[in-house]
Amino acid sequence: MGSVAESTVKRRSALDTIPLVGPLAICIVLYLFPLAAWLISLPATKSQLHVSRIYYAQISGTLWMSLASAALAAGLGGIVACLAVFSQRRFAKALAFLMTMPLLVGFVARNYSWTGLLSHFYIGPLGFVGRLQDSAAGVILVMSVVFTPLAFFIIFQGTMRLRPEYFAAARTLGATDARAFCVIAVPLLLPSAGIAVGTTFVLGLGYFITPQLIGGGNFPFIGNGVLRLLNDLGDVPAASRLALALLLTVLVPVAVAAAVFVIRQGRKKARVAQPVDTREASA
Amino acid sequence: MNAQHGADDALAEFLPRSLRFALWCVGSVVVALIVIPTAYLILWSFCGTEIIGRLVPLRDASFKWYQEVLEAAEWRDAIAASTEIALVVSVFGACVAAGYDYSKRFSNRLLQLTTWGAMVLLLTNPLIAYGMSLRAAGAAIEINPWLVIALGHLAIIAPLQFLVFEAASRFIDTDMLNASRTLGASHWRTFYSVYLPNAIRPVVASMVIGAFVSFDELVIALFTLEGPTATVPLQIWRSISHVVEPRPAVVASLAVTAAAVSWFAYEQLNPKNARTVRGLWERASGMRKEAMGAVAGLAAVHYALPDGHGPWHALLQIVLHATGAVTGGVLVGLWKLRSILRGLLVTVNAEPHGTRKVARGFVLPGVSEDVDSLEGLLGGGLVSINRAQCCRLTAACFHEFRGGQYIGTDRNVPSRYYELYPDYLETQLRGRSRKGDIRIVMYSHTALLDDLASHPEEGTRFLEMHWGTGVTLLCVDWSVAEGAAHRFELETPDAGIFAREVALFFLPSSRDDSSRMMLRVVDDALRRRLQLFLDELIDNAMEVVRGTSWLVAFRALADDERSSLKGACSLEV
Repeated sequence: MGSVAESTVKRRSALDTIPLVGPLAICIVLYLFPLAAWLISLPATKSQLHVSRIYYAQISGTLWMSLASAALAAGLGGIVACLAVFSQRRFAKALAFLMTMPLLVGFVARNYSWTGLLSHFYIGPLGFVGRLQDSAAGVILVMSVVFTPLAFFIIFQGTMRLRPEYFAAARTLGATDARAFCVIAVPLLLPSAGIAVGTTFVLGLGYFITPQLIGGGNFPFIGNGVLRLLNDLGDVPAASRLALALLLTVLVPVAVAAAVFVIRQGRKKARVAQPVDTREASA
Repeated sequence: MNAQHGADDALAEFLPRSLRFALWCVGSVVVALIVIPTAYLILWSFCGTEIIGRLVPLRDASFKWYQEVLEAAEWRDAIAASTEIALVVSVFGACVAAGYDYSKRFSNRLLQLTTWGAMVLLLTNPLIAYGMSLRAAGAAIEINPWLVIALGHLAIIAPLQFLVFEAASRFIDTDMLNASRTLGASHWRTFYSVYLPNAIRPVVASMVIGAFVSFDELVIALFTLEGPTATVPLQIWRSISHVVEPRPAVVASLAVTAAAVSWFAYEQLNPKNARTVRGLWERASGMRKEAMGAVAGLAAVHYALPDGHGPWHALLQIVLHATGAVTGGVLVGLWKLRSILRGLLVTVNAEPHGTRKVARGFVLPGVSEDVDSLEGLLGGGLVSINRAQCCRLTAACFHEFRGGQYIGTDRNVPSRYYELYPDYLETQLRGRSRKGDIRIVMYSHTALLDDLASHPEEGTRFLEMHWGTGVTLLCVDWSVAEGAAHRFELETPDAGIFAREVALFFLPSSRDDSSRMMLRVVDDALRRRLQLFLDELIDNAMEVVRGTSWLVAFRALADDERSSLKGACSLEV
């Protein structure tokens, strides 16, 4: 019997494990390995880049503009998601279609389209629209609009937590629909809105297309700095350091968020497990 | 892409009118900001001129720029390269994601959490830094830059495809996979015949999303590709660095068209059409060996044919290739036919080998009035069954195997047991010897004590029925039994095994007066898993014995007693 048991378990584990480790293998082989190769190959020569004003300007510019566009994108995406979820199904589908199309068309094409579009409005009563080109407001607005479909889908997933019963119960308890919306829908959607802000912010940190095309190079992000150092100046070590600074800027908050999440999950698990232990002990 | 989950019509009535108006106003502006640039791309591709911001009137719109793009070698090459990479990478990524989504259902939670962490890491990875690292790694191991691009794209789309499957996985019932495994199908068979037909939507969605994200990916190409050949986004980037003209708009318009077609094709995969697709899939999967034979025949002819020129040679090549393909397919078909005729081909689908034949012999005579409703059960499938049918079927099994040993695992506390089977003693066990039977109740001793305290009459009847007839009564916690059943891929821990030959599996249904049952001949594949399951239960069991001060006591088993019980529960015939 023992041999049968062992062979069965062995066969199961082998068959289970191969596809199970697929995503992990992709992460290790295609992400961590190149990352390690890159870090090892970083030249040890000292660079003054990290103390230069340009570096700080780029970091701070990237941070605040990414944050602003992420918050705006989450707000706009949240509004459309609310409109979709509180509408008839057919209308929601149409909205989802309109949001999906730009997402599939891609970032480069959409930024390129904005360049062409803004060029129609340099003169005339709508001249202020044309002046968005080469301005910080233009960069933030276009980045927000480009990220809005992504934020929409993240928040739209969060709307699955909204149940008609909650609102019906609130109505039965005497709350107005506006109050029910504020005290039920808004708190339930806040976590997914937070995730949308976080995701688009991280995306914005490594972004360089809009600052280049709409900002005209006047508001360079870290990505633009890396590309300039690499392609125009050929300074690979400096480009590598700047990219490494970007990586750390992103990964440190992500690691902190992950740690907080794991700790909170552990506490939640402990709280759930506690009553069972007590009952067992008393029995 | 899936609009139907959150958009419940019932929510529409709960939005106050003033707020709806405000949302409409702002939402319209947002949608306009998103749609207008996309629409402008299409307009630009038809009416654009060499000068940015100047369009020709609509009546002068033409396909001039489309023609220029299709005639320009660099654009054609870029489109071909991007399409090839996108297709290969998205299909491979979807296969990896589907394989993971299937196998995670049989894995532990730690590995799932680790994979989640890895995917979040990939998702939050700044592409600029990743591009630098791929450039360095590609230079270090000196591999083809196109391969570097493909691998980089795979790493970028992997978390997105993973999330698509995570969102959709709750709609794929793990019970069906466990049922298939319990019925004796291998992992590959279960994946191919049960999982994939039910996962058509996430597979297609992940392929579409992966393909478009890969098609649009700029950073990796920017860091790794040098020279004239480029991907589409890189070609657009290079082009607009010099002059803003409509050619990129043409390619973007083609992408918009492809995206719209993909969307509508995806929307056609509703449950009704999915059944047709599943039917086609099953029909095609029945012919896949013939298809492989045809491909082998084609390849053999292709490599055996000598080189030559001229129209006759071309015609001969076509005829010989077709002949090779047909011959290969026919040979495999004949081989399959031979296997079927010799009884070597075992078809494993929803019906386990032999169940219908064995079960017809005793179930139908015993429960002839339920023939129609029990047809599915006879095929070995999981069917819903009402309480009366359940009692009759169990009685038929007890009657058929009255001379053999019964090994049962039961999730119901005594009072619930008598509620479900009030005439159990009278009808089902009449006239059969119960000595040597083993019954394992799968609840904690606390639950048993509570039930005995609240329902002393049923409890006493239940216990005396076992002690008075020589049945060994064991008790394990439900969590242990459930974990063991999950580990050994049984549909449910609640089973009755009759004379080591036939097993009945019971699942409670959402309706109180019915349950779901599965009847299964204990063949080799099931025997191994059941044996491992029973051994684990015995390892964690305590014996329920007559108490001295109260009705029951729980006695820990010694090692030799456990070994002896395992021997008694051995399913080897």
